[in-house]
Amino acid sequence: MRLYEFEGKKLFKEWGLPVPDGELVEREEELLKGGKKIGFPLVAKVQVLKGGRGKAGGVKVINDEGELLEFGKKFFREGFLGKPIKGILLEKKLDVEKEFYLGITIDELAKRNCLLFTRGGMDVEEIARSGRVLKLHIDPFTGLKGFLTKGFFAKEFKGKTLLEISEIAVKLYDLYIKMDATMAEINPLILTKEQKFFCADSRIEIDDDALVRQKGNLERFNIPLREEKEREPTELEIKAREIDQLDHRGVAGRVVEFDGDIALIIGGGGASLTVFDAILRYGGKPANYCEIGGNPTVKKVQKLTELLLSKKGIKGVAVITNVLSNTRVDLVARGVIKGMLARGIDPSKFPVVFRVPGSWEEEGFKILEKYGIKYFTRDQTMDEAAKYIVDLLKKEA
Amino acid sequence: MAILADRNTRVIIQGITGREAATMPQEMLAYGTKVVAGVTPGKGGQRDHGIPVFDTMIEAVEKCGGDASVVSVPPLFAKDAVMEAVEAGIKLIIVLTERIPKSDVIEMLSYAEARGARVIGPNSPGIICPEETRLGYLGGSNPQKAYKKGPVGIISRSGGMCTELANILTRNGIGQSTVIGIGGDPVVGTIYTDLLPLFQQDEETKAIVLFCEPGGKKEEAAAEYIKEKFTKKVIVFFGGRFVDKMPGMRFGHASVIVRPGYGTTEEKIKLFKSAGCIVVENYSEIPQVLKEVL
Amino acid sequence: MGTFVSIIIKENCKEGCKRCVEVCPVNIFELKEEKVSVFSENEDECTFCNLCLEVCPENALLIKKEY
Repeated sequence: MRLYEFEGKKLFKEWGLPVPDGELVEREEELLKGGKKIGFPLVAKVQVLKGGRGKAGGVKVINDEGELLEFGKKFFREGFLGKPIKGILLEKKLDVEKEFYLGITIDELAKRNCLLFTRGGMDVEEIARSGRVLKLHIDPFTGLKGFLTKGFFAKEFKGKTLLEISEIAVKLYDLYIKMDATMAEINPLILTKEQKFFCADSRIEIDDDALVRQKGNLERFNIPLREEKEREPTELEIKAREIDQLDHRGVAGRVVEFDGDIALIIGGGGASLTVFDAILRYGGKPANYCEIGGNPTVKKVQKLTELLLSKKGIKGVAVITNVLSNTRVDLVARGVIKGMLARGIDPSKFPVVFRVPGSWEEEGFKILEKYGIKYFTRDQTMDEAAKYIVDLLKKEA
Repeated sequence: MAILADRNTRVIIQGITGREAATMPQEMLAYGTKVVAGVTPGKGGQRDHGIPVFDTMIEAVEKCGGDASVVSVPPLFAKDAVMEAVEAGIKLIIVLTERIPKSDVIEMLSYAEARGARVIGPNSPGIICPEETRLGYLGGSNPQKAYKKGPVGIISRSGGMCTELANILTRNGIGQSTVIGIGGDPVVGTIYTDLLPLFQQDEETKAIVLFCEPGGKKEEAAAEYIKEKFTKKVIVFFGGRFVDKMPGMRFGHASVIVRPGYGTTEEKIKLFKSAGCIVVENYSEIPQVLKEVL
Repeated sequence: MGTFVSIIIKENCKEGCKRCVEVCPVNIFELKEEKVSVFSENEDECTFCNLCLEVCPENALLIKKEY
């Protein structure tokens, strides 16, 4: 779960990390009040969860009230890159001498957290590709201590600045661990002409799998739960999420909506990816991506089916999974058929294909036969089933 | 020779009486796995389908012996369970549990590694050495339908695709030596590069099939290793090529997300090809390709 | 009556027993003033685990496949 910059800075402050004086403005009417508090010149930054703000004009040096109003009006009224903004953070402009990148994240190959540092903030991916990033793997039981960070920064800094940045890294790690973060970046970390460090930006992501145990902290810092996608979730996706949360038995969700006419009820994870690829490869147009797995309740599968079929223009349904080990075929069949019946669809007449082999398949096939549904067994691949439904729809067109 | 485990491996099931374990213990026994004990703190003294249950791993290992364990406990208890197994001297731990907080995962992996224990997972369906043993739930109630013994190793980021790939191989008369689901999470204890050296050494394994996905760097590391050190044939199949076109969007597994030019299947496929691997577009091509190389 | 499974409680069900209510893992049975009845919304969740049949002292339960 990604935090807004202003939320991250709240945490930075709490952990004693140096943050420029700042004021969050959440409404257009409060712009001038905020401006007065900080004083000009200041830096105005739109608060959104997407990266790349700076390049897209979401960060600006503001010299007077006029400029502030102009900047604020634009983004409060139009949003930023099509998304509404949470607010605008006004910060005292800093006298920048140098910029750095400092961050902590997980190194999946080393299976550890790592501290990353580079000179020059902003385009860290480019810098990473060029190989100029300093990296320190962190032993979880030793943690990140001063004696380690001082050694790490010794070639880059000396004297007071060495001690300060070492301490910043130590505090950042403490925050990272205590908040169950999977990423905590200060980009850029600024050294002013007066040789003081400031965290000019904050990017923090909290582990989705730790949100339950972070409930207290999130409440304490007034950070609401959110689910952020690259784009706003559609109504279908929101409803699908609610269905998946009806109970804790298995998964029937992870829906991403697309613009096609074939409703997909697919699973497990890797198979869903494989089936989606196959439908596209044969020239079909998927209406959605989804995943079922972990033996979901009949009710969840039913409701998911109903939801996916409620989308306009659905011309066919593909129920395709890998050979199922811990999900029962007959229960999936029950759920899908109940969903179709609830939508007034006759499964024996509507273009449907099942390719759901695995546990309890004999029972499942009995059900499919009773309802006149075309099905494939484990002797045919998922791709064959995908091709079947795409061809069927082409014929019916 | 199966890698990691065989018919003599004594297995303890952690969380045996829990909802998550369900019918897995009986199925493992029925398959011939040497399930010697189960552990659920507080339920010591019971028997679960004939398997003695203990309160602690130490006691279970003391009374019954134990080489490997399968962890099927709720997410916030998983780290403790794994560390307890390591403390009790278990050298191979399969973690089925998913949604374990990542800092817990990092701690348990570090703890295990420091003490010479191998962790597979989390979010792993387990491993199976056909006709030898099964740790986890691959193949469900009838693994013998999909899995048969033979010369091909399979490593997969997806549990379901383990069985799906084994199934198509078996249907075509090609058996499997060991099949491992490494798990769908971004941070897991065992990745392709941890297993390839074992397969390289295993005389019975003549070729490998990898199921790969977009996101992360596991495949890149594998391609590099294969290029330098792996002499057996590698067939690679990717699910989710479409994800390349939708950077920033996550599909299914927590690890399936790309950024422009980073973690894309296109990039991974390029590296595998330059390492001499055969990358198929449709997994139904795999048996034919294998028949030509075996 | 479910679409796929019907659970039938026969007349010889003993009032106040409720063992089936306690044992069913998918909550098919519910108690209404000491009388057991089928929660029809959950009928199609029946997995044929047969635990209810095993615990019923009166043999008062019937599980019927509707396919």
